[in-house]
Amino acid sequence: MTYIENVFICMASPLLIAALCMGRRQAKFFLCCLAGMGACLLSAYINTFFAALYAADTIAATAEIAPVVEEVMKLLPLLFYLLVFEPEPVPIKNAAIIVALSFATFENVCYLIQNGAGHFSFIFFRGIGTGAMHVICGAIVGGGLAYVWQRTWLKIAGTCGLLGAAITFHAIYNLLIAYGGAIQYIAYILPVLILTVGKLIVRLPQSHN
Amino acid sequence: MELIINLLQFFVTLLGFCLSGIRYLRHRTLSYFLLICFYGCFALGSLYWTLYLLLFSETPRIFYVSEFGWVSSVIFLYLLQYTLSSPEERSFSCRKSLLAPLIGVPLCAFYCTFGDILSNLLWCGMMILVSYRSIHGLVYAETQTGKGRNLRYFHIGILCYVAVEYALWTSGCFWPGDSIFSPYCWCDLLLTFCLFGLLPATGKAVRT
Repeated sequence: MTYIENVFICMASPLLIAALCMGRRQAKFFLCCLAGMGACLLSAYINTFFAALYAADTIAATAEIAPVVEEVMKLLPLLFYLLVFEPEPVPIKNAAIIVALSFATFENVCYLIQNGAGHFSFIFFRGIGTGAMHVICGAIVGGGLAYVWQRTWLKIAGTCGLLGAAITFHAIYNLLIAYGGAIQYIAYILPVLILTVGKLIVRLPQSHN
Repeated sequence: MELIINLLQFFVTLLGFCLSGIRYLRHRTLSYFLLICFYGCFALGSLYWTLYLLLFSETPRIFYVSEFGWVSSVIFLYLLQYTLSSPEERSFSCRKSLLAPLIGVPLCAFYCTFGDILSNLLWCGMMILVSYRSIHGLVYAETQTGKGRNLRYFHIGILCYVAVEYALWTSGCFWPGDSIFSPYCWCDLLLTFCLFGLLPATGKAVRT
């Protein structure tokens, strides 16, 4: 049994202290981290609940339930931020990526506690792959929200559409991992490749300018 | 056969995603951004479905995760229609658009007797919305002269997409199965062509 809430308290307390001690600008960063880890903690509870409710096996829980729950949970703190603080586009993107990264970090820590940290190469690939996948999902949602929340008529429909895109991408990654074997290494490499290509494409017009 | 068609659908939508991405990088318009989202979401949904079939030789049992991608793609298509319409077009009144709910509602009731009610309501609701706006846009485009008429191709493309989707679901109710002789397979193949046809049609509409 993993006492995930104890792990959360251990990881969250230094961040909370830092958020209180640092200035107001830095506090946002730490609060986004806390929100991401909190979303991960709640996702674990909700995943377990749905897995029990539908009597799901490991594959169904990983490839069908977890992506939906996790992406919805990651979106909730962002929606709160957007609705309450009405930020500019750039902070929205940053907040989405920080939430996603802290979510991935907490997920990795829980994975290490459950499965041990003995196999360096596997842990290395898993850490990078999961991190990249969550960053892509964060970038899809964050980048998209920054764009669609500038237009009133796009807000609700655009948010639903972006959430759907992030869920499907996350589900494809989880599906490949659930299959195991060599396929799961494709899953770890794929987000890194997409991230690299995406970064190059984003930089392309800037270098022309 | 279903696997091959789904794979083909994935590659076609991926091609559409790349081509609309190139056009977005050139023109930086909201319309092409929404077209990227449409193709991207459809491609992701198809990829998930194809991979699930390929790896586990069965369809998902709890959530149809692919539907999230496909539903998102239709949402983006609707937003694309809204973006391409002018304020005059939106205020234009047209009774012919009522054809969309007249056809969609009975079909929805029919599909609900076969499958999941919530999913059918969602899909048919979106198809009714998309076709309503398309018929409205098509009638408005007919009243225009010059380049304004170019929007017709976009609306016709979407109406073809909606018609093929309805045909696909109806054939799925009467002739389930994934053999090459099944009408379901042919409708699925036709859907793939319709999806790709939306790219030049949207290009013409954006240039207008």
